[in-house]
This record gives sequence, C-alpha cells and structure tokens, in this order.
Amino acid sequence: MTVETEITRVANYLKFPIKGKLSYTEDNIIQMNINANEKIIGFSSILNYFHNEVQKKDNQHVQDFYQTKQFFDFANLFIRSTSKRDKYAACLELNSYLESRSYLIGQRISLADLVVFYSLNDIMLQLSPLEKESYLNLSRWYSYIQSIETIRQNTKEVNFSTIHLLGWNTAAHV
Amino acid sequence: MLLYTYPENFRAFKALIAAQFSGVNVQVAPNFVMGETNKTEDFLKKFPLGKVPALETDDGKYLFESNSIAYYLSNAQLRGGSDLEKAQVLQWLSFADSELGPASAAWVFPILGIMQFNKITNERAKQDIVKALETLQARLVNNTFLVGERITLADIVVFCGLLQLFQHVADPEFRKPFFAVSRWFNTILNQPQTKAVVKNFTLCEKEAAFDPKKYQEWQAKFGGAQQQPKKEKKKEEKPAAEKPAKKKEDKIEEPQELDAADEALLLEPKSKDPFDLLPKGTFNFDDFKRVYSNEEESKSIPYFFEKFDKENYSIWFGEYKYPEELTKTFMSCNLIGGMFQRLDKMRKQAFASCCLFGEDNNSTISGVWVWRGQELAFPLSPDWQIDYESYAWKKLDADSEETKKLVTQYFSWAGTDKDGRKFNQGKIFK
Ligand SMILES: N[C@@H](CCC(=O)N[C@@H](CS)C(=O)NCC(=O)O)C(=O)O
Repeated sequence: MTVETEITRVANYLKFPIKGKLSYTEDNIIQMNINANEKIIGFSSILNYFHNEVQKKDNQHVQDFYQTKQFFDFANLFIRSTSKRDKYAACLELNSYLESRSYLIGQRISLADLVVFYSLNDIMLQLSPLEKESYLNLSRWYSYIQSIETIRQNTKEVNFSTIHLLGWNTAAHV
Repeated sequence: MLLYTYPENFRAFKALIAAQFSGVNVQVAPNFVMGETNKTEDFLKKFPLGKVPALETDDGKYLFESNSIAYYLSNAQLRGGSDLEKAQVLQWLSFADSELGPASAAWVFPILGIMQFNKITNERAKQDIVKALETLQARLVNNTFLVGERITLADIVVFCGLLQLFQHVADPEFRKPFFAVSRWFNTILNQPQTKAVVKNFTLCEKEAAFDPKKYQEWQAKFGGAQQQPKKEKKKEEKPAAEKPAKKKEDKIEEPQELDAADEALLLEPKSKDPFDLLPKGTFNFDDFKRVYSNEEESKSIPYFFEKFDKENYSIWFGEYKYPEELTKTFMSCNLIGGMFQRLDKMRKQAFASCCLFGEDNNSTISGVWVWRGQELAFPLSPDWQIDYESYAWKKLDADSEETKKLVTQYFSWAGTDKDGRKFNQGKIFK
C-alpha cells in the first residue's frame, strides 16, 4: 500500500477532510497542505499531526503520545523498509510484542493499530499459511483489526481461515 | 431497575458489567442484607428460590439466574451477531457454569477457608481447570475475543468465572502456558466498563495455601452443614465466641440453605484484628471510604478533615526508598498492588492513596496513609511486615496546612513529586 493510500485511509477513519491536500515534494516525499501557507512533510510527521488532532478532541490519552510516535517510526523505518530482513524482523518483533497484548497500545484501538495494520498489508498478503501460523500473535491481532470495517476500508483482505482449518496444536508454541 | 446482591458477588458482576456496556441503568438494591433480605416473604414472592443475584425491572418483572439477568441487560453486540454467534455466546455461558464453576470452587474454596482441604479433590480440580484453560487458550491464541471479533457476553461471563482463580490460586507459573488467556483476561479486566464494576482485583502472585485455622474459624461461624452432621456444630461454635458475632451473622441460622462459598466470601473469616488493641475513636473508615468513592474530591476531602479524629488516628507519608529500581511504570504499579494485597487485613482500619510519578526508568512512588493509632501500624502484625521497610515513613501533623495540601494532592491524584515528576498512576487502599 502506498503511503498516500495509507494516509488517506487514516484520514477517512478519523473523518478528517483530506481531498486534494496530499502531494509530493521534488524529492518524492509525501506532503500535506494544512492551509494556504503551511505544509507538513513526511509520513511520520503527517501521522503525528493527525495524532495531535485526535488528542485535542480526546485528551485522556495524552500519555500514549510517545508510544504512538514510536509505532509511526517503526512502521516507516522497519515495516516499510526496502530490506526484506528488516521486514521480517519487524514481524518477529510485533509477534512477540503482541503475545501479551490485544492492542498495540493500552486496551483499545489507537492510531498505532491503524498505521501498523496498513503498513503491514503487503507483507501479510505474501505470507504462506505456515508463516502466518508462525506469527501466531501477529496474525490474531491482524485479523482482528481487519475485521473492523471502518479501518479496513478497501484494504486487500488477508485470509487467515487456513490457520483455523489446520487446527494447529497450540501447545507447540509454549 | 433493581439488582439484589451482596457486594463483590462475581455473579452480579456479570450483570453489572453487561449493563456498563449497554448503558442500561441498574441500581444495586440498597440495604440488602444477605441471608436476611432474601429470606423475607416479600422477596420470596418475587424470587421463590431466594437466591441472588436477582433482578426487578421498572415495570415489575422478575428475573433470577445471573446469566439470564446479564443477557437481559446486554445490548445487541454483547448477545452476538449471527445465529451462530448467539449460540456460541450460549456455549461459553454454559462452559463457565459447568466446566469452570465447580472446579474453580473446589480449588479456591478450601483456600478461602470455606471447605476442608482434600488432596484428591484439589488435584482433580486443578486438572479440570487446566482442561478448561486449554479450551480457552485454543480459541484465544487465534482470536482476540471468545466469539466473533468483538467483546460479547461470553467474554464477560467467562472472565467473571475466572476472577477468583486468577486472584487467589492461579499464580504466574500456573498461568504461563496460558499466555493467550492471560492476554485476553487483562484486556477484559482493563476495559473501562469492567473497571467501573471490578475495583479491587489483583492478579495472583503466589498460590495461597490452605490454612486449617481459617477453615476452623469458618466452620465455627457458619457450621459445617455441607461437610459435617449438624450435631457437631454446637461444639465448634466456641472459638467464634471470642468476638461478638455481628448481627448479620447471627441471622444465618440455616447454613444448609446458603451457598456456603459465596456466603463466606461475603463474611470472610476474621482472624483477630490487631487494630482491636487500639482505642476506637470517632473516625469511621467505612463512611469515609463510601464518601470518597461516591463523591467528588471537592466534597470527600473536606469531609475527611471534618471527621478526622487526630487523637486516635494518624496520617503518614510513605515514600519508596529505591526509586532507581523502578524501571517500567507498570511494574511499579504491580509493586503497589502487591503491597496492598499483602496488607489486606489492614484495610478495615486504614486508608491510603499511593501515587506513581514520572515515567519508565524515572519514577518515584509515594503515598499518604491514614490508620488507627499513633504509631506505625505495620509492626502490629507479622502479616504486614513484608513491604513497609522499603518505604521511608513520616508522621504528618494533622493540623498543619502542609498536611492539608499533601492529603488533598494525594487523595485527588494530582500534582508532582518533590522533584517535579508528573503524576502517572494512583492506587487506593481501601
Ligand atoms: N445459578 C445461580 C446461583 C445463585 C446463587 O447460588 N446465589 C447464592 C449466593 S451467590 C445465594 O443467593 N444463596 C442464598 C441461599 O441459598 O439462600 C446464579 O448464577 O444466579
């Protein structure tokens, strides 16, 4: 998924009007106009901007700020990395992180879940059933986020049904 | 709508949590006295079984059985989307009742002193629980919740069914293979709707052991109708005589009619209270705690100072001595929770607000405590001496402005520590 699509989906989810606001700099970096003379440049910066807007409306989660930022950078630098090794390392790391968690941050959906979900889509689509099975916790979390229509929008669906059909012995993961 | 129950009844929790999710307004019947209210003619007319929880609707309809009440109070999401999901919700409700309930009781009740310990029963119960947890694990390893991809009544009911286990006996070692169940349990526990109902829960750190003394005390108080012939009851009543029995307890004369287990949870066996040795003043902790829980701090703090009896009670400041050991803030919160749990028997005559300031790798813990007596309370009981030495204690002058400020700050969870670290989380000992 391109960064442009990803940012658009996050904006849609937040019901934030974004039409005609996205473009690219000469160096091909995404930018967003927020008014006639103000631009925000770069994937993480735009997401941080959204995050700040959310916080203004809902200030009970201020303490998540740095954590959320970390996930934006993580999505940008690792999941979206051109290096295959980085991508797989990211999956491994997320998989162990999610063993004890239902959401990336706290106990409800946050922008971190959305951003990591979109950024992961390409990788998840390519995983074999066996690989999905080996990223057990990541798969569980991914299929949950995917089930939320307002987040998924037109994101290509990743099929997890094979995992359940195969009926893997969970004891093997202990 | 009116829900009849005694406090901290996990069966009533199902209904109350469901109502939090659906936004239905339910009141817990005020002045309900277990073993009394539910034996009145009026109650039995509405609920012939005489058991709680029981629900009375606004238009005078009656429901008994906690699952049906919780179902009634649910919204569409909680009941499940498709027909299959609805059936799956029902499946987990039955599972909680038949696979989890009896085995949980068999394991936990002896530990609470409600049942005699029996090695074979204990081992069988553990095996059954392992089987039930394996069933849950198999589902939760691939799915966030029990039914579909949303929280449903199944999650609420099974969660409530695990509460006693996870609080008293299922220690980290035991829970380890069931990491997905633990993950899910924490998620349900930390939903704001659950937290509004389940307030005093701490995850088990170490499996509590059977304590024959506890059991004898309980036997003495409530008789052993379920395990022993009635005759023996009289004889055993003696130990209870050392404390004047409460009115509530007097009324319970037919133990065979009571759900022994929950009854005991309600009236937990009392080991001698070390505070009994100290003069009883005019400050009533229960009253204050009620005001503190139900009112804004702008009311409860002035109430505290108005009622506080400085002759017989004292206010203390306690600060954790090893802040450099506090790496993760969530671990620090566990530290406070663990201490509160170990001080459980102190609750009746004490109150505290402990705050964590700062963030990961840079935090401090301190709190304001109030208890009966003028001396440090912890040496009064060997049970209370595990944690207090890792804190620096300072007695506060109840009349000084400085104390007022400190009490206000800590009771309202605001401000910073002395080095300016921001308030992060607080825990109330009550
Ligand atoms: N299956 C019932 C059990 C209810 C029940 O056993 N209630 C107990 C207390 S938790 C009770 O009211 N006992 C009073 C008595 O038996 O007189 C439910 O889930 O509601």
